[in-house]
Amino acid sequence: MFANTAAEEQVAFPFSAILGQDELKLGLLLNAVDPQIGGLLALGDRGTGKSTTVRALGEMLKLADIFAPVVTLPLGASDDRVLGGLDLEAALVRGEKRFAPGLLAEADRGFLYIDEVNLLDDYLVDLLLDVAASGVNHVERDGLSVTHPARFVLVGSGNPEEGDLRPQLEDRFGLATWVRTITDLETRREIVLRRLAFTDDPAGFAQRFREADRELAERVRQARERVSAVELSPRALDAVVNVVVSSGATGHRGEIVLARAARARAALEGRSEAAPADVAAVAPMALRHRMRREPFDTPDTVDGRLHETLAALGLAE
Amino acid sequence: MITDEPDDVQFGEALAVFVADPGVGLMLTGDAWGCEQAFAAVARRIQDKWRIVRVGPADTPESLAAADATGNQRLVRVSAWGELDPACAAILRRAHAVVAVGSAPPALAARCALVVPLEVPPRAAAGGDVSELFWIPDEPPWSAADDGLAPAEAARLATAMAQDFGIADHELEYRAARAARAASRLGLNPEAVLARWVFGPRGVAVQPPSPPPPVDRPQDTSAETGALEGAGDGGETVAPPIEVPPTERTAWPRRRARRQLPGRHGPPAPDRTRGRPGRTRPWSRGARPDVPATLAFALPRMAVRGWRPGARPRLWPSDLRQRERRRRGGILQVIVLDASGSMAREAIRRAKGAALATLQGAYVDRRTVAVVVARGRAAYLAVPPTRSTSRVAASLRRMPAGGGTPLASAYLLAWRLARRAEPTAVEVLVLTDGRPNVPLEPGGDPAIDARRALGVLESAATRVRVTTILRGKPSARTR
Repeated sequence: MFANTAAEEQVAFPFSAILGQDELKLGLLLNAVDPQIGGLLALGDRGTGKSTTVRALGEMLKLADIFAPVVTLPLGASDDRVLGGLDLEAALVRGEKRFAPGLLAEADRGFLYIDEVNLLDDYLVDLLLDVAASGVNHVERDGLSVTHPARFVLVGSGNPEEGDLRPQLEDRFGLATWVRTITDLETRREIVLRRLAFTDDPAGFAQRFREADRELAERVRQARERVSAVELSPRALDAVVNVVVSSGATGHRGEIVLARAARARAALEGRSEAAPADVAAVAPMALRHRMRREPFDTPDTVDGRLHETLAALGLAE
Repeated sequence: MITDEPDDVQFGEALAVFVADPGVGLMLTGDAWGCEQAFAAVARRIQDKWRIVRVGPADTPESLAAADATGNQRLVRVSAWGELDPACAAILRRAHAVVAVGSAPPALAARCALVVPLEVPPRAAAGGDVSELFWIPDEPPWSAADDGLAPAEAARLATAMAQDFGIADHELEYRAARAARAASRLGLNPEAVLARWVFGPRGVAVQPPSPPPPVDRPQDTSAETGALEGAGDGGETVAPPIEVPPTERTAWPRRRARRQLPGRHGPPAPDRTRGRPGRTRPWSRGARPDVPATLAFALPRMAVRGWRPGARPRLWPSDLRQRERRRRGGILQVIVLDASGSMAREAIRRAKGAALATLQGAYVDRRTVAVVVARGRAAYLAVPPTRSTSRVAASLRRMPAGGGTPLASAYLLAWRLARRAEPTAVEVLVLTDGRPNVPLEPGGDPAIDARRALGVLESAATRVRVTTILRGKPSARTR
């Protein structure tokens, strides 16, 4: 939920113990069910649990034996740390020309998490976009020529007050969510309480939520197996096209992401067919960063227009 | 419990809470000398258990990693006066204990729950004994078994008080709850501690203290007078004979101190030794070679030359590689656009064209751009400072025109923006037909007001370019 302290580095904060931030959690789960959705961008206030939630996801998925490592890309990482490069020790000592895998190799089949993605160096962003788009990392350097799969779900978080995100990068994320500070006093109290309890006794606290985490992970595992068989009902397909067209979202990526996310949601809820309600539930996440922006738009006005569109189509909750 | 004198500033109370649980975080503001004293007092008490990592504007994410700033039992002391690299600030949110001296970058403000505004009391400035001001109770009067405030009670208190002070911030509330527990273990009243040291100072936004007015007297480098420049708010105080450790001279006026730091302004620029690492390229004389990159590049070539693994690597000058580094930039480009009714349709089109052309350049340089529009009764900020040039462009295209020409008001608004930035890193472009017709105050002369306001604006900017848009060809003059 917040920055780490000593104890938390050994034990992750349990996913089920994170209060509120339902959209953020749903977005991550949908990506865990169907990595093809194309990642999640979580922008918003500081100290709202973005990083904690992403880290918690990895630990939670382990409970159902889902192989999906969550790898954090540190700001200021050099290109050879990210892409991989020549293993210098092996080369100098043993004369072996060996490839030392980078973070992209580690993140294969899992999540690549970039905290403060808006502060990332441009040239690293370009590298990541190339690899994320192709799913393959091709390294040509230091006399090496290595190609390895790097299919990862890109998860970015950041605070827009500290810098804008380049539009090219924003569009590359399948889903986007706005994370806000919770204003409800009772929830806030419980958040602080859980955090205190976790700091005092990380292992005991994690144990309390172990069962809830395991159940959720099991649901994700089953949904992953089922998702490719989930059908989009004709009405849901109509809803996808109608929402995208009338919201004026740019590009075709929106339609594909929306359809996939709706299917993943149905799979997560154990259904074999995605309904218009699934489309409506994930439409804000799939489209809000693809809406055409007016000069003085704020996240709220964009969301407002999107909800109007949904309501006009009879899809609002 | 620190001292009974009601008039005295009881820093010790807050410092004691911090020492009891450094995870709470501490922000020392106000008088620079006082900050140093308070920090020294805290450091003395915790140095057995915590290692102090000093972080400043020159730090990069790599240097933080090298210092293991977020490691166990590391106490990070940030003295950046708001100039810390945002990437560093983001990393430091994970530090176990943070003390911000001067002011905290916004990303770290909630991480430093206790705010101690240090005013040096007259007694200290006059040379009295100040040691008790920074005295922190020695033996904490609690035993390990005594837990103090229950977590639920601390959480309730922290959130309820945040609510009362109009604050909603999960991170701050959590740190406040820890402060409440530490306070109660020390036998202090948790509610009073939170009100006084956590939420009270934030009820009005936590601002860095306004720097003392730049005094044009020769800079005396002797430690004694140097440290007192910030302390002498009273004016008539006598230089007291206080022993002052020769620390950084944070009491200098902010602008002067900042101007001495290279690499804090301008577009992202190559730098030999500092900044974010980028690609590697062949080494050129004078640069520092990058050892791993050089070895990796040289290995296949050394093999050709007959080098065998395990032997000592032999490099040729042509093997050397260096790593490009780019330092952070930050020119603020303010565009003042006259969109009044007096600008003919064609003129406004041309003005927008000029603005968009400037924007192109701003994108290339990764400048921050703000747009001020002079239209109607008073100027308004159409686009607050942003690096999103697409947002600015869209706003410019849709900008409606009509109404009066409040140029003076526009200049003052631009000045307010410029003032917040480095004076050597602000460029202003004014696009107008040069016919102001709205004075600052009713009854004033619009032209005189505009001229005066322009003078004010020029004092805060590197360059103000006024481009007069006429019906014929636009003419530019640079002021």
